[in-house]
Amino acid sequence: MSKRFLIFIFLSPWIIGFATFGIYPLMMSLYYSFCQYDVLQIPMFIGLENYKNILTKDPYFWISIKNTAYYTFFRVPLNIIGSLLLAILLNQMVKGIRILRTIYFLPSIISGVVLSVIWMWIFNPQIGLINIILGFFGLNGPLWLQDPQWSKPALIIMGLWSIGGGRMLVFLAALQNIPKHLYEAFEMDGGNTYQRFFHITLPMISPVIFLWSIIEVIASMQVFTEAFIMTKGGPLDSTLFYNLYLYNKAFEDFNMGYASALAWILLAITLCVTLAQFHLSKRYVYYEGQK
Amino acid sequence: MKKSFSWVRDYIHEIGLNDVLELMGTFGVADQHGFISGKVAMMILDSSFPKLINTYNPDLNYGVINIPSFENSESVSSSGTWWAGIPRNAKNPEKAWEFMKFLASTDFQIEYLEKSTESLFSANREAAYHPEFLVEKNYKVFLDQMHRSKSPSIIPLAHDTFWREYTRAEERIIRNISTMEKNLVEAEKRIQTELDKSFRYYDYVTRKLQN
Repeated sequence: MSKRFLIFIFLSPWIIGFATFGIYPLMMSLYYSFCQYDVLQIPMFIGLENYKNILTKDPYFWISIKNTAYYTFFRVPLNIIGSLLLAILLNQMVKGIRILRTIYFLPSIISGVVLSVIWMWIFNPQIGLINIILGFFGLNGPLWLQDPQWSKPALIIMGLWSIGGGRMLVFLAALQNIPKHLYEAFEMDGGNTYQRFFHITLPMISPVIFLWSIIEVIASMQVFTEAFIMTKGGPLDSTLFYNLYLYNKAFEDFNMGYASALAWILLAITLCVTLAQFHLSKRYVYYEGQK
Repeated sequence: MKKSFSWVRDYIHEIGLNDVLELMGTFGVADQHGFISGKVAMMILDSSFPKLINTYNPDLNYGVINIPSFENSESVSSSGTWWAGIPRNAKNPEKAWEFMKFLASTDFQIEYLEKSTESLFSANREAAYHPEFLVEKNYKVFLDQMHRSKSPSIIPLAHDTFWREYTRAEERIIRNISTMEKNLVEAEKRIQTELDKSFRYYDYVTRKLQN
């Protein structure tokens, strides 16, 4: 048995799995995006009609794009800054820091559905925790999930729940990897704490910030669970995010061709945004090894 | 429809839209449901609720009446249906038909209705009015309503689109966004577009299968 054949045999479970559950669905979804197809019957080829309708005749497509862009624009920086600040705090060598790190990490292991139900109560306008706290200060809390002005900010606030998760851990590892001699040299040159953060810490962890900005943007553009459980896209379509709209088209209307076209448009948008991020990264990401 | 929407909108605004939304925000599911928990005195609900009330708040003292109607018109409500079908290319349509007859038989229907966690009503009249099934005091109201109820399945090809657009229009009317006429016309237009697409698709499928 040749070595090449053996390699292929060992790789074949992955190749078969990837071809069956990766390549095949991908190619079929591309084909279905040019069809009208309800899963139960045969697909009807309609050319570019789905794409044309989405881009020119579908107001919900643009609403979902607007909602998703708003959510991504605010959620990504807030979550990255939140995780970084938490990592800086948990990087201090104080007594019991290991226990504190574990405590801060714990909320992130809760499943999205459970989290959504908990937050529905937290945002409850009458008996919710947030409005009760606002009430202590004499403030009338908003209706949160019942108010189209506040529903998206509510979901963005909810997203902050995860700042202590994996992102914070990676930031923590990055902070601990910064060579101590850089700080020592900076102190000898008379730099203060703020300068140290902006001239040493931030540049040294910039590759990690870049990595998370990409992961977070992609994740935010795929936001689904919170809106599906908590608001169903309402009120007044204010939380009709792209993936929720796609889900409605695919699994409620069984309009799989239209949903496939939506999925490919999302892929194209995500690709463009990611490429733009890579382009921008040249301005702020510092790699130690680069010339 | 316009009259009923106007009534709902005016009634909500009489109480105060924000107050209503705030109260609705406290509702949840199961024992947190507005009516089941006893927070709301009167609600338009479907026939699944008697069993839910028995499960989550059996002590709730309540009654059921038909939805009030305007002037001299009859009270009409919508009804959903569970149905069985035989696919076009079924290998054993005769056996499938026999099985469907068994499903619709009185004995099976009574057994099924009793065991179901939902409050379902049989299309088999004998099963529906069987004393074994009519133990729940409010079931008679639902059964009598079945003679007049209309199923939204009259538009099966765009069922979810219909409900979503209907709910959207209702929400916009209640919140006084745009005029009622405009909201209803837009909803109708979108439903019709989806219906047209569905009809075209099913024509295509039927032609293909006939060939």
